[in-house]
Amino acid sequence: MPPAEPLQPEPLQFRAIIGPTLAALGATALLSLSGAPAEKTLVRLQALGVGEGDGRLLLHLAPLLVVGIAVPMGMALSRGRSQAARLVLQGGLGAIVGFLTAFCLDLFIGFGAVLETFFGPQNPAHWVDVIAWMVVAFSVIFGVLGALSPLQGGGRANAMGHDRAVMIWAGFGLIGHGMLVGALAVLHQSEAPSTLARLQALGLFGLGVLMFAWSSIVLWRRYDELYRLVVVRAYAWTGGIASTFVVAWAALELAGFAPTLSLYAVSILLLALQFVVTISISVKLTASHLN
Amino acid sequence: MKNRLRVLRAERAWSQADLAEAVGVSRQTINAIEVEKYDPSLPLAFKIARVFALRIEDIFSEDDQTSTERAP
Repeated sequence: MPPAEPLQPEPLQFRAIIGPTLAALGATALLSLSGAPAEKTLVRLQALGVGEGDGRLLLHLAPLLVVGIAVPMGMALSRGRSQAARLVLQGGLGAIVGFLTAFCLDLFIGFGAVLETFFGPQNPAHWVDVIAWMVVAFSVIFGVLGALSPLQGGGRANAMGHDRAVMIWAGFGLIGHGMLVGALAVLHQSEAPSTLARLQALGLFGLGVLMFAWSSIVLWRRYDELYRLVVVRAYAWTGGIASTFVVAWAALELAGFAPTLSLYAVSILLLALQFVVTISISVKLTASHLN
Repeated sequence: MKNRLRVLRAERAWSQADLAEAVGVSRQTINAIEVEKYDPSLPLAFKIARVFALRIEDIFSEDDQTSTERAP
């Protein structure tokens, strides 16, 4: 039987702040490493008497400092406010952090070099590749945040009501999802890749599929009926929308009003659609206040 | 389907998390049932009824009560 005493929302404690802050700092550190100091900002710093080396270091570290302040501040200010107020507040802080980060660094410049090292020269991104990379970014960011969320601590369940293992598995699966979509994009963008590069991309794809499938099976078996409903509805909606789209596109293509879509493009559109539909259904069914 | 979950919880001073733990589901599931976004499966409805020591029909009712009244 349940205990007679109700669970009240716990006061915001250091342990509850440290997890999300560390997760955000980790993501920002990766972002910072992917970028290069913005030349205009560097010149301004040099005009103020800061040396070039110190200026570069400062511009890499500044986003970390801003995020390290903004996340705890956002959590503290959001406490006890309505969902709308929280969204406005966190959105505002996010915009400030984003602006300052863009002011300091040209992001993702280093990312292309990493891809080139492992998979050979890359062609410019096609519009389908852009969608694929967006799915990769959201999957990896949500995955890392999900996997690190148990660091928030607390009792048997955190503020979202998930047990810790479920959040870790969900994060693990999302990272795998990002890897498999990223591998497809890399294979598509690679310019005459070597056999080794293709095998490396396929290895990344296989690992991503394995992680995603493993996580999906564990979550299906371990979680409850509402989760299963979200999964079933997401697949049903995705299947319905996708089949309508494919049939309509085929008609337009045969009539000469639409270009031919590759299987890669259809796959990415399908994965992106499934991602959006799953999140929408999940939010619709589960968004609530702690009570 | 309408339900009296929130009232019954309040009478016993249980939180959603308490009830969720007692019936073995997530807090979101209890919340989704309470706000009538989700109708529980029959096994879950039985578990909830057992936890409150009530019959299922004492907790859950059809949206349109008149159809229930017309039933034999």
